[in-house]
Amino acid sequence: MFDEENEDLLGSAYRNYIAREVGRPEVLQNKKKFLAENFIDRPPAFRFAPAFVVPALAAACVFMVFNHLQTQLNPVEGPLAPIYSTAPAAAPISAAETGPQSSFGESEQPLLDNPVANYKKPRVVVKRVSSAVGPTMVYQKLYRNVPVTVVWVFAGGKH
Amino acid sequence: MQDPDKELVSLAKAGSKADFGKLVNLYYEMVYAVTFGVLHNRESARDVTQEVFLKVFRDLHKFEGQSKFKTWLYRISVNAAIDVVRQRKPVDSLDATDASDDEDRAPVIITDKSPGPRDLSEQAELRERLKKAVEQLSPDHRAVIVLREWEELSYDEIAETLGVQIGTVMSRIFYARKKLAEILGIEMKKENLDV
Repeated sequence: MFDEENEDLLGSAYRNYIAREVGRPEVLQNKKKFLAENFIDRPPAFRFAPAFVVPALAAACVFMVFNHLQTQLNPVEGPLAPIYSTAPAAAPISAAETGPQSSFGESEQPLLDNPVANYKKPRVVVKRVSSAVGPTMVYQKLYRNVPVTVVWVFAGGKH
Repeated sequence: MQDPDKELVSLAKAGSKADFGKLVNLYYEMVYAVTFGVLHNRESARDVTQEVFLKVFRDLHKFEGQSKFKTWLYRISVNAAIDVVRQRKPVDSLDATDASDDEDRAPVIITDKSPGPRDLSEQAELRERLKKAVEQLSPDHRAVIVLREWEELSYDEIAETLGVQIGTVMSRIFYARKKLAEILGIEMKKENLDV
């Protein structure tokens, strides 16, 4: 149309101008978004997959790490022995539960004269402990209103 | 005439969104370039591009395959963009200078009024000048320039796309280039017409 060199110059400048515009990252992003919103068939179950997959994978990872650490710290050697347990013995009913309730302003001192309150436990000396249920015995009891797990291990097995 | 998109178009006509998505993936940048070339506004070009694809998918049953799908897509894109420009504001059209009696005219000499592109060290400055130059073209002239210079369509293909005579295409391209050259300070001689 006009001299070839200038035509090339003009064409080149124009192509650079459009190429720069079309090559902007936003154009590609808009295209992907438009495609995803309108022209990609996906089953409804997978539409929100990222919202579920990421937390699920995170939870699985945490579980695996925890499980691994637990195995490292508490290795179980040999066959697992059964753990027997007995129910805790019933606590004796105290005098405070059975005795008369003191009324307001009344001293509780007279209770000291109560034979129940003055009862002294006989001294017990334990010479030998044995278990009828197995080499170990586990039970729970309250100690100052705190549940405590008591584990008895009988050395040498059942006695 | 073998249309490379025939199979995808058939599947899309049958209602396959995924297959039409492949066409979108293929031609999104092309449609964006054409609409931007006409509109010279990013947001408008993006909106029109996406509207074009939605319209094409909706009206795909109207496509009879007498032209290539790509040509049909060009036509819809150019028309949609030109419609937006015309709704936006009136633009002084260069059509008045599209006289077919080009050969009766005197040689056109555009002298340098400012430093030529070779002297422009800053590419950004050249782009800015080019942008301003293109904005002075009418939508019809912008359309032929983008189809010719960017899409590298032949005059026949541009004529088929726009539904105009090939002489009109040649005339529009000549005057669009002339205007751009004038603004950019490129010397242009009519004796070298090569259409």
